Amino acid sequence: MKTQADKHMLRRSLRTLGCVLLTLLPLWAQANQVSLNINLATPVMQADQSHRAFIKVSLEGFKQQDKQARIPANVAIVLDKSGSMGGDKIQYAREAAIMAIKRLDERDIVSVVSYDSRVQVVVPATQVREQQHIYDAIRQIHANGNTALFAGVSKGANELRKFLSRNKVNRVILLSDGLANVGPQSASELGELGASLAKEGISVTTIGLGLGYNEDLMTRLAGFSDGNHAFVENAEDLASVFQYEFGDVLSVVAQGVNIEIHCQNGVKPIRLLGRESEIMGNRVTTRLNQLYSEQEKFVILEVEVPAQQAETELELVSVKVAYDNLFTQHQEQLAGQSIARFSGSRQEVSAARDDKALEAAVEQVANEYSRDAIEARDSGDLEGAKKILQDSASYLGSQAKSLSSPRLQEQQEEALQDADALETEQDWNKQRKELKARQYKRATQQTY
Amino acid sequence: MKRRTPLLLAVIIALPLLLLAWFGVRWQLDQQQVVAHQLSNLVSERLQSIDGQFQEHFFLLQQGFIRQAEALQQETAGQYSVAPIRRLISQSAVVKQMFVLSPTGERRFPPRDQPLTQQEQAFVDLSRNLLREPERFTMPVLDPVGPAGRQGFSSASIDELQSAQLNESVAQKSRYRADASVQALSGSTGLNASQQPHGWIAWYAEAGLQQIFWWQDRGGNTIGFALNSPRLLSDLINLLPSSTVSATDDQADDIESHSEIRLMNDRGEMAYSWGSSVAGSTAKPLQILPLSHPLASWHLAYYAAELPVAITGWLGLVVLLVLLGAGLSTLAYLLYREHHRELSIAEQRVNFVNQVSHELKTPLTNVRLYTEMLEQTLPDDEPLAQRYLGVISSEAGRLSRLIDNVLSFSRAKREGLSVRYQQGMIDQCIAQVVALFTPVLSARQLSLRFSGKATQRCYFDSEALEQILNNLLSNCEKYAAAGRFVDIHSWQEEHVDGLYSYIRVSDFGPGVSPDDVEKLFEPFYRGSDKLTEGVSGTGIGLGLARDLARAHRGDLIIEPHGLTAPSGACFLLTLATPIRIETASTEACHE
Repeated sequence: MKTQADKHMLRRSLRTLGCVLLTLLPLWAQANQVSLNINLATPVMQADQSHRAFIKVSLEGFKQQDKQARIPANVAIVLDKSGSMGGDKIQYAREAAIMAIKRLDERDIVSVVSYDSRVQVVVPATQVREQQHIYDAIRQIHANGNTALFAGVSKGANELRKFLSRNKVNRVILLSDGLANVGPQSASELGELGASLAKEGISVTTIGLGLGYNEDLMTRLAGFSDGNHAFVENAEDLASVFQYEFGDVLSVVAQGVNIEIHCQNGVKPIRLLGRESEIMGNRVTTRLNQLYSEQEKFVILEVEVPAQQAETELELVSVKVAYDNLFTQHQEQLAGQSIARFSGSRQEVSAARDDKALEAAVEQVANEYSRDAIEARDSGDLEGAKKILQDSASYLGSQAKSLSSPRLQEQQEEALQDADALETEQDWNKQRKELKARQYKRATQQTY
Repeated sequence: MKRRTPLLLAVIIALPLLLLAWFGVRWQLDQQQVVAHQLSNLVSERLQSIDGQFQEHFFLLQQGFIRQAEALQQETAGQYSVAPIRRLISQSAVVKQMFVLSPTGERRFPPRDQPLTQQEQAFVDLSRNLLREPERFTMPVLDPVGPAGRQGFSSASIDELQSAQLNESVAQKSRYRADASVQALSGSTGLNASQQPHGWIAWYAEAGLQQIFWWQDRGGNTIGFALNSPRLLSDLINLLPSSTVSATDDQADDIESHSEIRLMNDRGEMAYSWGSSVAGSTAKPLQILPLSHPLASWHLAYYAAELPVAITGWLGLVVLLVLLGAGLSTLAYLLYREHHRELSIAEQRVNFVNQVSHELKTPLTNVRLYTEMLEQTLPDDEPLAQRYLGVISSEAGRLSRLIDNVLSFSRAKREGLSVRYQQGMIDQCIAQVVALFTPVLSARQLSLRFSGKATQRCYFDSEALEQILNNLLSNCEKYAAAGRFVDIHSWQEEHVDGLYSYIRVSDFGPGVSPDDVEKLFEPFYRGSDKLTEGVSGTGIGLGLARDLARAHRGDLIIEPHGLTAPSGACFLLTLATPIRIETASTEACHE
């Protein structure tokens, strides 16, 4: 640990940067380490007034140096084989599952569970050795019956538990095209199950197929267990989604990432954008189930900063991150802090702006707007929903201009399109699923 | 006769079939009841064992919680500070929230003096009423394995559980990997800690049944663990079997192969089901088992489409009956055909004999006529010729009687016997016969003694009477030659319905044994090979005599011994011989 005096010296020398980035474990040289970046969108703030500030806490998984030295996966594929999956859909699903399993090898464990009104363990958890047997079993799956989604996920997780290990990537991949109608069926119940599974180190990826599934349930389940979520309209695209998903699974480098943010010096946390989090007093905690190789995952914290005198510095937050490094197989810790400077000069304030962090923050804020819009639309307030999206679009537009960010511009256009699409009743079901999936991807920085 | 045979055969077929069907149905019904009973026993056993599994699950949870609580108490020195509890909650997959109450019932966790997380706040809001009544947590009655048997169970099952964890699949171990803190603890603390009051509470929160385990430490603090309900259900589902992959490799045991078991939650919704048959939503469960505390108001329901065993049983019975029926029918048909053929052959032979007899009758009549004429014209001084003629005459007479018998017999069979009444005197008729038989009998050293008292003129069929007497006397000739005498008595009696004539013919031969009395009269109708023997024996002779007597509204019986003679046979012939006839025509009567 460095002393407080050391920090002061360092701060002075880096004053012009505005943002101070620190990692207390000074092991940059070591490649197999997650990097923690804490960026304040506005590192220099106007003095003598209170502010709302965005802090971006981002983690990036290190590069998998050797493709051969990847982390073994423990995957349960849970396939919906209810009556609505009949025909092409189940066929595509089977082939997609088989194609995906082809990427695995002897190190990995795979199990396949199918469900209709009941649950069948098609392939019990087994090492991927005799692939043909697995494929044959999968090809036996035929569509029929109802949707016992809860039980299917339960059994899938149970298959994972047979080989559950912190040193493996433990994942349930759930494919469903219908509403859960046997067993628990509310989004909150599935969310609680997801949260419980996350505590065991299991994440659930949910793939919604077609227009019949419950996107709230699917995103909740994925969100609470930090899996991926995808909306697949055409069954033909299942294969590529499965490929992406397995690509993700095979590139996991760290698991069980706990982020704990302490607000210091009277700074008040308002909200954490994107992910489920716990705000308690001045402490904010959230967790990611895994980090992927060379992928950045971040959270945006919005805080309220009390007014300060000019030419002073204030430590806003301190961040602690703990994670299981799958390569060293140790729990590792990272820490950092974010310090803001206060100035009377407007120029200095705008010059110091961290565009990238701000862009990310704006993206997440707009994403929140989009969620609010869905909620408003669900409660029947069509006009309100539309207004939220239009506000979001104009917010995005102004920010895109000031940041000259094409990404935000794109998002603005999306928001405008979404606002239009709100009105068409018949497309709303599809629209909502797309929106939900897009929001989810944005919030969790999902790659596909 | 012709109708009786098929009837008899039908009875032969139907009787065993009916008997078999009756016993088969009875047996099948019994069997079904037995099977149903066994099945229901089996089902309830199965359901009980599931309940037992659930109880074991709660027991394992309880063990884990007690260890955690114990460790928590030691770690925080009885203060239950906030951070370790929060860490415990965040690590445990099965616990949703915890609470700690002080001995005075005050809430220590979630803390009153510190900011709460949203989850904690929600829990506090939800459980306000529950936590307001700390006396709930003083009754250690709610144990998953029953308070009475708990002590025995816990000591026994701990070994079991530990060995199960050691031996059984990795799943058993990894299930508790989720609660990292549990494994870190030594098992020794668990036992004395479980002496402390503890129990399960099933409590209706807004979303449904919420299971809470509480444990009181030595300081009187109550530590509560609220379970994550979806997780609990998930774990319970994982204790239950999954359905088989496809119907073809269905190797599940009998109970589950054609049935469905459903786990129903407190709201009566199906939480999970397994088995193979798809019972409709309206179907009624065959059996329901309410689950034990703390899953009270949950239940297991057993559904089955039908009893497949019974179906095959009935099918077997029906097939058996059909096969047996077919077999018996074939047999009966063969028998009937055989019988029919024999009958027709016999009839042909009888017809043949009949015709032959008929053809013999005319020449025989001529023989007799010319013998008689010769007898009359022959001078008396040729005794040898006279004697020869006598033999010819008597043998011809015997032959003619034989032929008469055969013809009468066949006529009786064909069209029944007819009686032709003519006025006459019984004794005269008898005397004629006696005269005819005297030479024959005397040839065998038998002498006829006739005493006639039936002298009243009346109507009767003299031919029939003659034929009867012929037969009786022929019998005497054949069988009673040793008796020296044959007595014939006749008399008449007036009865209410007219005059009756009685003729008793008794000999002193070997007699008739009582066993043979009825057989003596049995009409001849057996195999054709015995036809000739029958004609010469008593076969049709006596039978025909009796039939004629009965046709004459009388009877022919064998009188028991001791009435008239010490030995020998004694036949009594009764005939209705009316003095005048109301209907002049001939009257036929036959049974």
